[in-house]
Amino acid sequence: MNTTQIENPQQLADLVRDCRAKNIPLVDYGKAHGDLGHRPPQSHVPFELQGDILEHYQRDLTVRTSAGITIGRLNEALKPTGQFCPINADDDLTLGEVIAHNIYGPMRVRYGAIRDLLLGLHYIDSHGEDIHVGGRTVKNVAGYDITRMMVGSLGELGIIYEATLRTYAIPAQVARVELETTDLSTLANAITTWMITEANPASTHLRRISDRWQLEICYFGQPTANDVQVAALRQATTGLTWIDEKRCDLTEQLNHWQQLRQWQRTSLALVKIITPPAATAQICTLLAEQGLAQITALPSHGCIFASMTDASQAEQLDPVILEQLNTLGGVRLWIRQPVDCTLAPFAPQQPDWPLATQLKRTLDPDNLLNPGRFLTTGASSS
Amino acid sequence: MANLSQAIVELTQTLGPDHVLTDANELRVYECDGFTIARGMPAAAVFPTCTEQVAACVKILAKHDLSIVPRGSGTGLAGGAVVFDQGILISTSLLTHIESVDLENRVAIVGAGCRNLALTDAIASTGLRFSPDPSSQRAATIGGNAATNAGGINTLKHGITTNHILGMEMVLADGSIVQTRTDNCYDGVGPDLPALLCGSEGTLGIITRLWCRLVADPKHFRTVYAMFQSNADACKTVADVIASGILPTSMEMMDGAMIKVVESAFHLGFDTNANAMLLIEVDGIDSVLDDEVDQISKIAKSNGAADIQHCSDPKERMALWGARKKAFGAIGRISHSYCTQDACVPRSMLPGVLDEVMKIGKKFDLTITNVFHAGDGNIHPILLFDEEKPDDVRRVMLASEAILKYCVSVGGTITGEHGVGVEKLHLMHVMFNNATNQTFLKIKKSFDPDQRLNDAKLIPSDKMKIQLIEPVGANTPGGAM
Repeated sequence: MNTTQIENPQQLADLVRDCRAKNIPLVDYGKAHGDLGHRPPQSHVPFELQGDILEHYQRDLTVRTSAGITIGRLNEALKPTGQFCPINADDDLTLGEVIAHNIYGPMRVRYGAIRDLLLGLHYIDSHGEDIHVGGRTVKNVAGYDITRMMVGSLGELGIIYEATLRTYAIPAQVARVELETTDLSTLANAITTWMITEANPASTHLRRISDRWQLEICYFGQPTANDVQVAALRQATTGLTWIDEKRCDLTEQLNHWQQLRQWQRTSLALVKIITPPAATAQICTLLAEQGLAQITALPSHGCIFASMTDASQAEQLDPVILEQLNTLGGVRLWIRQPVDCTLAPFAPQQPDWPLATQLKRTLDPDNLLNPGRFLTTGASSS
Repeated sequence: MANLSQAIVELTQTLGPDHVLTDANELRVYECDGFTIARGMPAAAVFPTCTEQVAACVKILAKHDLSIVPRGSGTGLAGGAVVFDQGILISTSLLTHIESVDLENRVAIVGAGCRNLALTDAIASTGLRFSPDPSSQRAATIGGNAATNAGGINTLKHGITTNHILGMEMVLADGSIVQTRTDNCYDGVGPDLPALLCGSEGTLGIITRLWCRLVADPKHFRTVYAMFQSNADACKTVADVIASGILPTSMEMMDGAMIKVVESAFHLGFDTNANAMLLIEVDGIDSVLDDEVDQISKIAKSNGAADIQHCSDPKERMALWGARKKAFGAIGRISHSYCTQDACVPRSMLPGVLDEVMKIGKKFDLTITNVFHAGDGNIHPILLFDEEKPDDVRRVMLASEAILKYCVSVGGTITGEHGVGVEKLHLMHVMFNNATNQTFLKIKKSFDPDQRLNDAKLIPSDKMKIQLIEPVGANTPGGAM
């Protein structure tokens, strides 16, 4: 099936109207999320958005851009102006994919997630209509906040064509500290303690290495400020071994994080767990005890990724994870399920999913946009 | 068919007589919110003390086909909590509990009626805080903050309410109780429903409980104020500071008239000959704050600032911010009534926008003064008038409309932080195309098919029409006077 390349909003609106008339669903699951959720119906029109920066309001620290722009291109274009958009995502992902899948990374601690960076959206709804919400101002409470509502909607409520985002000044320096431990039991308390001192991190990132845990803390700022923060952290890291300390520029740090994520793109079975931050340690420990080697987490926000080897391991571990989540709270989703595995893509049921389904029925009554991927409405598409 | 008297009997049975007000004199307090131009008397006001009671009230009112207006402390500034058409007001002000403060997850669970400052005070010793700080934080409830997506002074660096609400519990129009997101998670799967509900102004449901994100309470500050000979110089300073990469906690601006009002009320030693003043604060690592102050001072000086002062003394700082937060109250010294407008524009547009605001003031023969969140581009022109004079009210409404339309024309919005309420309903078509307004209405009807919850607020209703500019007529259930 040929993928339709979309180059302007009119072309996209026409495509939606055409597909609506023929009752053929439109599908864009993204590059890194193609295996997330339910599979698309056999008959569908795949499409991809193309695009670039439309306007950079340099003095306002905002940028209006096509959703088809890649994150690599976005930051490459902003860099000569001394600004960047603090999105932790692989360079080849489009902004639209980042918004639809609520992708964030270690920098969320300092800069927020994509919901905090987004100011406005232009999207095409399931009737082919142009919807413009939010805008280019940093504060805006006119109308319902559909801009942020679309974050994490997995392309089921509308097709994002254009977005306006905050940008930030590129920090003068990144200071990176690597800490190590075998015991995560004091991690949550440590993070809160650091937050309320000058050791307050700008990013936190946890990963499993052999039988140990490596915690990476970064600071973004002037070298003198970074020195103070690193010194404060050194005084407050009881129970953690200080492994390494490095200064670099932002580009190097972004590349470093991208390299650390590579295994997620190639993993045959990748699960994402969202849990209260303080439960990160318990769940990571549980996964390690079950023999999983590739585990990474954003401990400040309770986001965990783990890789499994095959269907039998996934089927064996899934009930264990769900039992923990029933106690600790949270949800797990398979970004990529092993072949021959038929576990529910999203579980356990969350309290707001009926409301989300109601929204899907309202905004896409004929189930035309990424049908059934996450929200099963009962409406049929061919 | 509406049956008000039977509904009141059932509400009284459910809540007890002390929690149901029907006396017209007692209800007078609930006739308006902070936007005093819009007024309407509720048929009754009820004061549930828990979510289940809120749900029971909603079910009773749905059964009797009565409209509902939720209200926190009534500090809103757009008429969002005004009751039209003999509706019933449901106050969440008694849901005041702080259910838990979880330091490891950095989450506080509070009732919707918990006052913003009450939470701040309760967690002061933890080193954490709930960041949103609207000027009304002493009285405003967190439920109200969320319903209006309130801003405040330190939002420039630390964000607005939606950035700090992780989830909420609410009662829907049919009386069912729902929760968005779960426990203390910072995320979920699927569309961001807490974001949709933040700022929905009570039109989709009644918020009863919230999961509030707690962040580090900054310990070190520097506060700078600089006096300028023109608004344009001050505005350019704002844009230059932001463009330099410094991110202050707040950048507040007052024009010459407001400097005089504040100085006469608080005696802080401001130069009353100045035509503009910037009050800027930076927080962060103590040892680098002085460098940031130096950079800001240099930028201000390069834009013609004559007098630049800074302080790190907590008492002096509190006096400066106290004066800023009470600036609106001080306007009573120079005017019977005032209408605070609220628009937001890209920061770089501020000089032109302020010029236009003053031109509009002249055109409508109104005195307009300004104190606002310049760092956010969030302007608050204050239109002085006498609300006893109908022509004053009319000119205020027309001037407001002209200001807001101009702001939209330069890439701005009709409201930065106060909300649409009833005040700006008629401008939603200026701000949004028809398809977008229809989408808002679809969402409203999806949550509230009978349009019972705070109808004709935030989005134009096809059921109830409210007209603020024209005199009250037979077909206008509400009105300006």
